[in-house]
Amino acid sequence: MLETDFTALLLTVKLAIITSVLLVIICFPIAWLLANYKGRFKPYFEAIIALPLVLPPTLLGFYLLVAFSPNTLLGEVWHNLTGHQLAFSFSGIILGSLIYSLPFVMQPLLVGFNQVNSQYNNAAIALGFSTSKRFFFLLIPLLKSTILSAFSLGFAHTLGEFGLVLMIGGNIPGETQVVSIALYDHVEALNYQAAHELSLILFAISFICLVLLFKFNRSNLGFRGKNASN
Amino acid sequence: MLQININLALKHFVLDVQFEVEQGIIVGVFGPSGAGKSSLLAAISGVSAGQSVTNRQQNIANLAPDKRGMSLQLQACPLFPHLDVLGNLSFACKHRPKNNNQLALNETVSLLGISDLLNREVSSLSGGEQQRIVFARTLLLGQNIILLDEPFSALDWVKKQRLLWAIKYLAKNKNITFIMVSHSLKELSYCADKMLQLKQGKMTRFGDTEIISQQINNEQGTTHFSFLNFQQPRRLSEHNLTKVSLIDSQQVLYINQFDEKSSYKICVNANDISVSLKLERNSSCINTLQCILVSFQRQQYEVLLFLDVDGQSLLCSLNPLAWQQLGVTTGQTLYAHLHAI
Amino acid sequence: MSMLYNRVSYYFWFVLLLTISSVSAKENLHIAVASNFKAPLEQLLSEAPFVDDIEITLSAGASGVLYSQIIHGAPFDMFFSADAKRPALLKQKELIIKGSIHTYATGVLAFWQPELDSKNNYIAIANPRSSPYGEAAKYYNEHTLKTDLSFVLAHNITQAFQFVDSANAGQGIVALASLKAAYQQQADAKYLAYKVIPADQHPAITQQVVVLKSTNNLASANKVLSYILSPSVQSEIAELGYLKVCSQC
Repeated sequence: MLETDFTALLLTVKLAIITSVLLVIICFPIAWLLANYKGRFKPYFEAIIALPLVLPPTLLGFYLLVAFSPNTLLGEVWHNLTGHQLAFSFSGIILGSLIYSLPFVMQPLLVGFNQVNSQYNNAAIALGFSTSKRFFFLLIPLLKSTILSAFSLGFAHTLGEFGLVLMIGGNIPGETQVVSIALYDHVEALNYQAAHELSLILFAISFICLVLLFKFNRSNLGFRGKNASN
Repeated sequence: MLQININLALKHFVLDVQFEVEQGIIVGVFGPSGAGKSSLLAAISGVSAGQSVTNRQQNIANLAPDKRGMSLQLQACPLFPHLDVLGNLSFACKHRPKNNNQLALNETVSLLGISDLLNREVSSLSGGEQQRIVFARTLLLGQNIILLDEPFSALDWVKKQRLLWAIKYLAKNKNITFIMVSHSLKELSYCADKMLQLKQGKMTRFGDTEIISQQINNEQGTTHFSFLNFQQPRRLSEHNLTKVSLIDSQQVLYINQFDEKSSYKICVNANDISVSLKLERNSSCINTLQCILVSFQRQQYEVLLFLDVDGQSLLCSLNPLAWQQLGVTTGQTLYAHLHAI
Repeated sequence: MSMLYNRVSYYFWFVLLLTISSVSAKENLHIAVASNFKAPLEQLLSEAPFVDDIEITLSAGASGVLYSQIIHGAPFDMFFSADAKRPALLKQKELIIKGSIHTYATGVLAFWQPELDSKNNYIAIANPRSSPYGEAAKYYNEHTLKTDLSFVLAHNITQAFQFVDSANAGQGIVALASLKAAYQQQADAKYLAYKVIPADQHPAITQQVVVLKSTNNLASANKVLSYILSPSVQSEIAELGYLKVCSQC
């Protein structure tokens, strides 16, 4: 049992890292656009982004299962592009995780952008800095720690993903059998000993992640020096 | 030539301002809080869209703020916290839009006298020090039109003088147009070439500073002051004073705080002058000027005396009882004792 | 005088409410049932003669989860498991009424391939570690089918059906009951594209029921038990896609 558990752990960490990196890259410009958008559709966009927070993971998983089917548009397009299926594949659960953890990465970024906008970005616009200069040389440095906490939050959340992977994963070791699924397996098979061991390891990893998250999140908005613990 | 035509509906009134200025002129915008001064700057700079602004015959109203050839320093214009002071200034040098005004970093630093602040962390600066650095940063962006919204509100008058003088220097030598908002008439009178008075969004006065500030000064309820121009400063280190001579005059003044890099004029508050008919030899006041009472204006709680000191105007404000006690008439020669200069 | 009156009336209402709540017209029964049998059980109980006398609450879930709950004291009266393993464990732990283990249904496996020339190489089965259907499917594959298709493990037999139904898996070894139920809902020809796997080619998928020791209502539980095990109900169950429990054969 230990070998498949180890594989499951590696797979889970790999999934969490890839998902979080992709999410930061995807969410950063969207958060920037949304923070600057003041039109009347803003609440609708914000609600769509927050949906995965509220919907049960099994619901998300179920509809993804339908969407991944080679008979529907998404599944068909993917199959034509890559020759593979989305269900039961690592790519499939990455896609699922991207949706599942999106609000956890988007929220801190949105908050960060709003802070930066109200203080620094507006002043920089008035002074006459161009958009690209502000984006690359002002926003990104100021938002470094925000990006880090968004990443950590997405990472920690993806570590614990279960319901969604249960629906679309197919429980394939090394491909879609993440730790939460392996754990569920042990419990279902009445192998409580293995379940305890695996739980402990996952708990330890999650805890360490969160400790690091809070440790490095001390500095707000990339402040320097003594007042970094602002 | 910068031509401004603003007609913008704000929350409580309509902002209605039209004027034009030559390049290299300093415009002071004066008015009470809520008059629309900040909104005016925002409209000119393009932060509020669609107002008619032409620069050298080019309509820049629809250009993005970073393409207009001007910088607006907002009232809330914080330094970037992820860089130290020098970093903030270098940032402005490095990322300035391409234009003809390339102010060098060390030139600006020595102009404003901020070299001792360069290695400080942003968070360790006092409010006044921050404002000086923010101003330096704005200048280093190198635009030819600079809009300033209450840029020196946290500075004492002595430090302010240095910066106001720097504005005059840059306007004259680098041909930069400044439009500066302040609720301090003293500040604007000191350095602006033209003054614009704004009341409830309406431009009530626009013209040369001497005339307009005099008019505003005469309005009831404003704090009165006047400027005396001088020359030939001589330092008396044993008394920690600087002796200066009034222009076109033999009369001298002894000034407490004098900055080499400032305009040679001193601001005298009308409240800080006492007047007597005779010259008192044994008196603690070292700054006494002979003057002629040109006219006076009786207001509800004060009497304003318009004095002439060898061709320069000096305003003095007296309590009605003090005026009564003084008992003089126009045309008489008086002695003005300047306290607190 | 009025204070005494108040006291008496308070006591009166208190006792009345107490008796009302306990003197119900019906007996109460709380039944834990494996998810894959919930719908059939609901249907059967609604047709039972005692439907007006016994108030039945069904809690459906994975057999493993329900088992865990029971051993940690969940107040169920009966447990319809999807296997025989967990009832046996409960018996070992002495949590059941003596002699109350009975097989209520025997699962039937079917090899289902909705699209004949599907190039989809995935075959879905329930996870053998936790499902008797999966265990049986694995046995069948190892001894008879010996396919080289890629196996996808569903967390229960119903999900195995879902994987094939959604065309993510090209074929699967599913419960006959799922296919019959699906066809009932939607008369699509694809639900008929199966072959029943003979019962002798895999270990029996016995689904057993127990009455728990913690029950307060043994009489009602026994009523339900005898009803479910009655010949007419057993043929009904067989019709739904299960093997007929032959007490005589």
